[in-house]
Amino acid sequence: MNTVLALTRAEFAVFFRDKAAAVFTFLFPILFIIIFGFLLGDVDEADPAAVGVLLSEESAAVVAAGEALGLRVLEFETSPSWSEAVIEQRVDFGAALEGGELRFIFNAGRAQENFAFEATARSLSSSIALAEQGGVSLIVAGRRTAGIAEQASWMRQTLPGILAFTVLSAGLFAVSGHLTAMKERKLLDRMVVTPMRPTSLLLAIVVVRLAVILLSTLLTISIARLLFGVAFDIDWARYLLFVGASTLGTMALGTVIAMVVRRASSAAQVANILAILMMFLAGIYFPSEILPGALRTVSRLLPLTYMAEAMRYVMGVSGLPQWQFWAISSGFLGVGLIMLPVLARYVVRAERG
Amino acid sequence: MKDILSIAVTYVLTAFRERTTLFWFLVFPLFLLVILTMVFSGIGSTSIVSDVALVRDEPPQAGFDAAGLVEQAFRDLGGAGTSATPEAEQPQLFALSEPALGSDEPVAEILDTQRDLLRKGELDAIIVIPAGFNAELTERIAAGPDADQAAGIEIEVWVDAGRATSELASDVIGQVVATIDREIRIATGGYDPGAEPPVTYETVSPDEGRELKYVDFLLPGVVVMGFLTAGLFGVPGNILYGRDQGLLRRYWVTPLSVPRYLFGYTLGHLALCGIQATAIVALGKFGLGATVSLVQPATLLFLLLTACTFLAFGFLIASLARTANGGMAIANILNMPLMFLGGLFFSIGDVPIALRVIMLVNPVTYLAEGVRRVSGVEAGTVPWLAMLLVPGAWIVGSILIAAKRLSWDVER
Repeated sequence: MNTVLALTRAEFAVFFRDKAAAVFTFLFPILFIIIFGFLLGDVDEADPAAVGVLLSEESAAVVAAGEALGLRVLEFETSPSWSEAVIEQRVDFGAALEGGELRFIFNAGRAQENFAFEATARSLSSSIALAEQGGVSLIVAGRRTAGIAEQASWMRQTLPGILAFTVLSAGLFAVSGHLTAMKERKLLDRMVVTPMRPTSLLLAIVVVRLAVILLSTLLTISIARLLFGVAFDIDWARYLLFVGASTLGTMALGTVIAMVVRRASSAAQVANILAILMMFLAGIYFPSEILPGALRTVSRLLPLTYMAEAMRYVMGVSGLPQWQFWAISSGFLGVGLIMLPVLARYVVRAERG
Repeated sequence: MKDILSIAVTYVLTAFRERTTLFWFLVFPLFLLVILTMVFSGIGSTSIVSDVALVRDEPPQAGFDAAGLVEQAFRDLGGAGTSATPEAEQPQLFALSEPALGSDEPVAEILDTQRDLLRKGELDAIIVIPAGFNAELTERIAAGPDADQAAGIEIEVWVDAGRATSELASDVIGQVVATIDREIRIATGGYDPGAEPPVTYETVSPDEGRELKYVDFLLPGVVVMGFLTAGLFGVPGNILYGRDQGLLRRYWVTPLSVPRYLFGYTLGHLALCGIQATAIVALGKFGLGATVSLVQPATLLFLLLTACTFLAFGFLIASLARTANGGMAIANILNMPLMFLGGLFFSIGDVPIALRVIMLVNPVTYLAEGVRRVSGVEAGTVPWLAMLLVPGAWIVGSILIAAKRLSWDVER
């Protein structure tokens, strides 16, 4: 027991001395939420789109329809100033009604937003046509929310994914970065000739990583709450269980990398590359459902996809069938428990020759 | 001169030999370009099929069954269409289930189950045609223009707020309902489609008459990002690992001086940036259909300024870090604010003062906008002088600090 305690203390010191690991584990999620929280925070407030209306004899109908739809309406006297306002993003799109023809212009550089502006333009066009004929809408879509209304917050949807990524990278680097570095620097050679059992070292690494991950995720959640007022309905028992299981599981994945890529620096780089690729494909930055078909299939093969889903579930952000949560957690736990003996046998051993 | 060229060639060859360097230099920018183009060009397209449940609480009736019309319209879009003519075939927007169909269970209970599935992510939306729909609609049609302007008869659309796929399904359902509304108005003689004003949708860009796509906006940003990561991670990584492992020391026992080494290193770095930009532009143009041209004198000069700025930035980081690991930590800390507070991938709106200060001193803000502006993709708001002065100040400042602090040999 004393050995495990001594090793745990040493591992803590080593972790906090490794600046790159500390930055990735603690600063990455915090920087992410601070930058994106302020950049994208206002997307939740649903600012009305701004429409630039070109003044003409008929433009009053466009202005009236725009205001009725709750849009911000700005008027322009000349066609060049009107299109310039769209190009310079002073308005989101432009509308002109001249000679009975309705013309909408969009900024070509805002392709990622234009589909939403086009939908607004279509509503505007319908409202104008309806108003001109003196008609009224017969049926409308009435929105109802099945979950918690405040779920709509960007931060609530994204933060669990970022935390899942923190767990993944910390777990992967525990073996593929840290343990292989110990091996490369011949530190393991010296340790394995002492009475220390390989499992004691592994246990110490698991304890340190778990503690660091819990600390990092709690710190990130607290900062999100303090800065952006985002609260989560966390099921703590399941949260601890899932974080523990996924840490073990991702350490197992790190073991596979360490066995395939033997050089410590290369193993850490491969782990880093895999983690970054997974972050883009696993629905962390943007939902995997909007990926093209083939990439959606790739996404379903990535462990981070399931980690993010389970993390959203334990943090009360989205639902998940019970069996699926238990399948994900036990899957990671199982992989971790199966791989740990392999880790002890093939990675924690003296180099020959 | 031979020694300088030799250093430059070695730099390029080493980068190509190191798989991880190759990944960050080449594979990652290409991957990012492809994935962002595929994702953001596909948004709003009909390729996403949403899982939607349709619950009809209104019993079928003889004669004018509006609820039946609504039901059929969603069935058509759910791939269960019964259209007689090929022209009337609709693209499948929904994977539609109808849990109430043929079920004896009360609708309230069915709805509870469906809402649970929606919360668990197994459904994207639920459409409910409420009881009394036909009668209320008939009443509203009869009232004509005297009907309440503000509210139509509601078709309930249940969503899991904030979940992107659910929000997307809700938008599509909203558009479908608007179309059905128009069709019913036409069918009941309350609306003349022939009197609708003809509508045109156009895009405008600073380069008049050119049709730009998202990839045209993205491509210059990815090239700048490639230069940024090359400078931020590649330069300090090279110098600090080379110094820590004693590789640089071997140069200093030859007649090669530090300035000549630096000149060769800079040439090699610029060559690598050139190769990287060529690969990104080639993929954008030939693989993704970009029309933006970066091969113009003004654009090339701006790209040169970009590469030089981030090279100097790399030297600055190398001079601030004691070890290679420390250098990577600093690079990692700087990478995110530089990248995301510089408008590389999307335009930046109102942000708190602290972030605005970072944006204003961030060279990426000026370089990304500069490259986009000279290539005719963006109109931009930053004065031209600032676009040259701010990156220029970073180059001078970084070189001065690096010249003073950067140690070229292992500390003894």
